[in-house]
Amino acid sequence: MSLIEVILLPMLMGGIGGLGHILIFKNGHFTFPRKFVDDQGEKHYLFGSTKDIIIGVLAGYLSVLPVIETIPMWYAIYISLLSGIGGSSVITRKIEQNLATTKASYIQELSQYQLELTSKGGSSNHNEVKPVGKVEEKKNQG
Amino acid sequence: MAKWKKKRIKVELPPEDYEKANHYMKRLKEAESVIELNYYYKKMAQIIESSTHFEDGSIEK
Repeated sequence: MSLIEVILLPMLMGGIGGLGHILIFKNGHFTFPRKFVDDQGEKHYLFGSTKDIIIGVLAGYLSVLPVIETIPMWYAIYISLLSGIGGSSVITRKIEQNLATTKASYIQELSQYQLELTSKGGSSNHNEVKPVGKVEEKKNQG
Repeated sequence: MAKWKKKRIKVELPPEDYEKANHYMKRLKEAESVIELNYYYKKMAQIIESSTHFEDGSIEK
């Protein structure tokens, strides 16, 4: 077997599987990688949808690695494609669940405020919004 | 539903803050990472904390 058949083909199929994952599980919503800079000037790199493709590539390669010598090529393609589709959802499930829970708690916290444009005669009373840590603590308790 | 509506706190914001708050809220809902989520939540919290507000529509004198 050539290097292409052993390494590149499973990786390619895994990557295509990762794209399939985006199409199937994320309704084709593709986000490009980007740099996120906060107020302190700290740079954060967000992978976006390329994360699913990278995980698909790795999953596609790793799934056929132990058996690549013993199985026919069409079967290796089949396994790596399926691994690419499924790999992402298995690996990122917990992260996405945590993100969704945190997002829901933040939205719930903010939904108690009704935003309106300034009218005459307002007071200068200050609101108290729970800091990030407290909301997460509350979420963990509940 | 009506009870839930009563509990909401009115937050009055100047136009620029109101636009910012709506923008941050939209970005918060679309956030794809915890970093983004925390950032936009903190921004919203800052805007609300520095705003004029009325609980249940009453005006504090």
